[in-house]
Amino acid sequence: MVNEAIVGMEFPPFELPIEKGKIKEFARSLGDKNPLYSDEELAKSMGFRSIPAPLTFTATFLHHVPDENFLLNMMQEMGISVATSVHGESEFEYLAPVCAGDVLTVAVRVLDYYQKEGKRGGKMNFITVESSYTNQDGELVQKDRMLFIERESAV
Amino acid sequence: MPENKLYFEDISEGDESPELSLEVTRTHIVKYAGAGGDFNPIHTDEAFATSIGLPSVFAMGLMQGGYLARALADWVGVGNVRLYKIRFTGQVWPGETIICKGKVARKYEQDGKKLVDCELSVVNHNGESKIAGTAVVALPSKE
Repeated sequence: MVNEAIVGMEFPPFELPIEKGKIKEFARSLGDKNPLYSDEELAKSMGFRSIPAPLTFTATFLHHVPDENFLLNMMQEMGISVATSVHGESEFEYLAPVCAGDVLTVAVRVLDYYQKEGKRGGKMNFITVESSYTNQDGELVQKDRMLFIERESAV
Repeated sequence: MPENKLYFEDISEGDESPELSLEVTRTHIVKYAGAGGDFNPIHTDEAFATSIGLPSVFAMGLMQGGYLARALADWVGVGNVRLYKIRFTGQVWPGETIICKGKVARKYEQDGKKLVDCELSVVNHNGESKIAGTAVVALPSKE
């Protein structure tokens, strides 16, 4: 069962290399034909160090680095039921560019927890998890926050 | 289309972005699963989805969140976005047409930066909400 004790819980930090091929594949999967995501010279001519990451690109780490089950394992450690919870919101805060060739260190922690009465009875748990990304130069470049909403059974 | 050159002086409160619209198919979902890595069977395995009472598979929230982000980046430039926040308000099912768009809610200067707050949305062809979002964008100036 989730409770306020999870606030501040930290998961072991890990490295996330930002790869050109992965950016191109990600952009293509969204039908994005912007050549900025595949043409490094073009990206440089527009002031980027290299090919920039699409806006929601970092969220993919949840499913491939450091482990393909990272998200599921994390939910299990927090005590969130996968069966009765949904991903309710996502927020991305961009502090500096993330580009191909960067190696980010990702620190994930539980930022917030609160409980409310659900509209249809039973309690609802709201859990915010924050991922902070620091690049190879020690610069904090991005913060992502995800809100999970868990419905507790009324029994 | 390369990075859009949108200047602070070019936009006004109430301006709307070009719309990005597409009919979502199972192929879109599978492609996003492959690139994004989310292989939860409720998104990719029709037999599993129907076995637990769902009408079919449905898209990951961050898939339509990715399309909306694409519409935003095409409009204001990927390097200019400072904050992108989305709330998932409805599931997207194969066969639905989604329309992603943005609107300038506020234009202002703060700490020497020229900023624009945007309201963002994804709705289906019947106008039902799928995502309600906001963005903060820092735009270059012609000055």
